[in-house]
Amino acid sequence: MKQKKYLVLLVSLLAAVVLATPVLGACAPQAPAKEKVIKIGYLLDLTGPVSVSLGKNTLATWLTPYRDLNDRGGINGVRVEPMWEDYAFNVDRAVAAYKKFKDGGAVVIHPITTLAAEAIQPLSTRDRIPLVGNSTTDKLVDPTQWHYTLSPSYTQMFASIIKYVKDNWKDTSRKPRIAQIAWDAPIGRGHIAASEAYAKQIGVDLGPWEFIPLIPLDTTPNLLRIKDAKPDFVVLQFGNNISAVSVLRDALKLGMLDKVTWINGFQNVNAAVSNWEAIGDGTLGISDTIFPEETNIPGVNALFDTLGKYIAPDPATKKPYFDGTTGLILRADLAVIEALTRGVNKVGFEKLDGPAVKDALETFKDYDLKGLVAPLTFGPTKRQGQSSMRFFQLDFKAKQWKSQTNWIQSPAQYDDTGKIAFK
Amino acid sequence: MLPCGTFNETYAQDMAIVRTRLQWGLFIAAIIGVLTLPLYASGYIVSTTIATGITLIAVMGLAIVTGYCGQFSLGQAGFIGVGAYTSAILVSQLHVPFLIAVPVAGVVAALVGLIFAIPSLRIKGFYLVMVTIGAHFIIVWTIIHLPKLTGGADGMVAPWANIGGFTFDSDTKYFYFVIPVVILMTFLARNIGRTRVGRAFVAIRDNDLAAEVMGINLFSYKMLAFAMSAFYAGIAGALWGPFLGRISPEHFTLLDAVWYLGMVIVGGMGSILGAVLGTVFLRILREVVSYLTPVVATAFPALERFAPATFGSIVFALAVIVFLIAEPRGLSHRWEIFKASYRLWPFSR
Repeated sequence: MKQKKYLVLLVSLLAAVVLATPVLGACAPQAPAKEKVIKIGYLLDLTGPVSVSLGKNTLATWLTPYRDLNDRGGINGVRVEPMWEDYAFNVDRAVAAYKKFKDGGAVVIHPITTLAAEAIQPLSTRDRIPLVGNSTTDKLVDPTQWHYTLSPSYTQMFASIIKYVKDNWKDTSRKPRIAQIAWDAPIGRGHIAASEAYAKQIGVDLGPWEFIPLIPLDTTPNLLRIKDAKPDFVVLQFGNNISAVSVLRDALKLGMLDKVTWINGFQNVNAAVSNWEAIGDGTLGISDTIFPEETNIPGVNALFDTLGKYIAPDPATKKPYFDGTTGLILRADLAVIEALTRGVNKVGFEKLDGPAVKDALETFKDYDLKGLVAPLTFGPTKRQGQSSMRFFQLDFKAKQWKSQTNWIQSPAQYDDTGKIAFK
Repeated sequence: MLPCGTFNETYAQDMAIVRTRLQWGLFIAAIIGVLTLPLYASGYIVSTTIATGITLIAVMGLAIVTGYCGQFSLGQAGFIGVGAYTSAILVSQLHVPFLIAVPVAGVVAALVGLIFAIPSLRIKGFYLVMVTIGAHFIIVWTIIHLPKLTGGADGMVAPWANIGGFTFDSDTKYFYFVIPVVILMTFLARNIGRTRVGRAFVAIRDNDLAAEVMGINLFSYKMLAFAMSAFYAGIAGALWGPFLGRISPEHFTLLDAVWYLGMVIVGGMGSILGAVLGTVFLRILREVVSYLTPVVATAFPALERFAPATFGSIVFALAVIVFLIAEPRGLSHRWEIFKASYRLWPFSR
C-alpha cells in the first residue's frame, strides 16, 4: 500500500517536472554579455594512429598565425582565440570536442583530419558553424553541408594519377596498370568506383585494390597479390608514414621495390621525409601542399618570417621547422583568418557568427595565399576552394621532395550538386 | 546491508531495490536533478550526459554478459554498430517509425550476438575473447562490403529521431528521449540479476561445472547472456545514430570495446551499479584530462606536444591498472564499504 503511494507520488512529481520545464526554462539565467574575442575551434590528432605522421611538428607552430595576428592587434582590435582539443582519431571524442567548441561560442572550426571533419559535418551544418580544413572526400564537398576545403579530394588525386600515368606511358602494346595498397578506411576506398569508371574511359587498367589496417604489422599477403598482378605503378594511400614504411619494407623483402613505380598519396608526401630511411628513394608523390625548401614561393618565406618570431629554429636547418603537413594546416589557418577578417569588416564583431563566417568564405574569388595553394574560390554551391596538385619525386640524399610538375588541375571536378564528372 | 533499525518484515520489502524513505527521497531528487539538467547546465554538459547515457546502456549490456555471466567479450562495439546501422536503415530506407526501429535494432543485434555466442559452448576465457574480437571484425567487414545497404566505408546518414511528427533535432530535445530510455534499461538490467535467469548467470560465472551439475543448461544461458548483452548494445547503437547525425564503420572501433570493458572493471563486475559508476567515472576522467591538457600545455611549453597529448591515454590506462591492483572489485565495492561504514559508525572504525 505504502509502495503504491510512493509510486503515485513519484509519477506525479515527474509529471509536474515535465509540465513545468517550459516555465523553469524561462527563468533560467540569461547568457553573459559577449566578451571581445572571437573563438574558433581546432580539432586535431596529437595522439592516435594519424599522429605519428606529424613528426616534429608542434601545436605552437600550428597556432602561430593566430598568435601573430593577436600580437599585431587582432582583427579590428578583437583577438582570435583558438580552443583546441586532441580527439585521438576517435569519433566519440571528436563529437564531444565539437560540442565543447559550440558551447564555447566558436564561429568556425578547423578539423585537421578527415575523420574529424566527417564526424562533425552533419552537426556543424545543423548548428550553422562552418568547418574549414584540408580534408576532402566526396561527401565533404556536398554543397548542402557547411564544410569548406582547401584541398582536392582523394578521387581527384587518383584521377590525376591515372591521367599522369596515361600521359607519360610510352608502351603502345598494352595499357598501364595501377594497383593500390591503402588503409581499410574511406581514404582507401572512397574513390574506387569513380576511379574505375575514369580509368576505363581513358584506357588504364586498375587493381588489385589491397587494404591493410591502420597500423599494419605485415603486408606481405597484400603485396604478393599485387606482385601476381604485375602492375606498373602502385599507389600508397595512408594517413601516416608508418604504413608506407611497413609496405616498402615488405616490398624490399619480396624484391618488388625496384619492379614497380611507387606513387605516394597526399599524406605520405605531406609528412616528414626523415621517416623514409634507406627505402623510397626515387618514388613519386602527389600533393597539394608546399615544402619549406620551396623558397621561391612567397608564401613560404612569409611563413618563415611569421614562425621565426615565435618558434625556436631547428638546429639542423637553422630555421623554424615545418613540413608539408604543417604547410596544409598553416594555410588553412590563414584562410580562416581572412574569412574572419572579411566577416568582421562586413557585419562587425558583435554580429559575427557561423553564418557570417560562411558568407565571408563564399566571397573568396581566386583568393591568393601567396602561392601556398592554388587560388581559392568558394561559393554558395562550391565547397572546394581548389583542385590542383603537383607531382613530386623523392630525393633521399637531399631528404626532399622535388617538384616534377607545376600545379595541375585534376581531370575530375565536382559540379554544383556535389557530383563528380571527368573531363 | 540495511540501515540500523530497518528490518524487512515482508517479501516485498526484502525484494525492494529502493527500500527506505531516505532512499526514495534521494532517488526522486536524483531523477528530478537529471531531468531538469538542461535548465541549469550548459549545452556541452547536456550533450556529454546524452553520450554518457548511451555509453551506459552499452556498458550495462557488457556487465550482464561479463559481470553476471563471466563471459568476457570484446565485441560490444561491433554489436553497437549492428544496432546503429539497423536503426538507420529502417528509418531512412524503409521509413519505419523511430520508436519501432530502436527495439528492432536491439533484437537484430541480439540475433547477431546469438550467432557469435555459439562458440561459448566449447571455449571460454581468453579464447572466447578472441572469438568476440573476430565478431567485431566480421561485423565491420560486412558493413563495409554491403555498400548499397550501409554506404560501405563512406557510412550513411542517421536521420534525427522523429516520434509522431516531433523531431528531436537538438541535444536538449534528444536528452528527454535518451534519459528515460537509460532509466528504463537500467531498471531492467538491475532486475535481471534478481531473476532466475540472473542467478543462473551468476552460478555459471562462479563455477560453471557446479552450475551444470545443478541442472543449469550452460549453453542456453550463455547464449541468452550474449543475446541480452547484444540487445543492450543494439539499443545503444540505435540511439547513437541520431546523436551523431552520420554513422560509419570508423565510429565502432575495437578500442571502444576495450574501454567499455575497462568501465566494467573500474566500476566493478557483477553489478549494474558498477557499470554506472565505471561509466560515469571514466567519462568524468576524460573531461578532467581534456580540461587539464591545455592548462599543462600552457604552463609547460617545453612539454607542449608530448606530455599533455598523451595525458588521456596514460591516465585512462593507469586508472584501469590501479583499480585492478588496488580495488579489483571496483567502485561498487568501495561504495558498499562506504555505506556499511557510515551505517555502523562509530562502530565501523
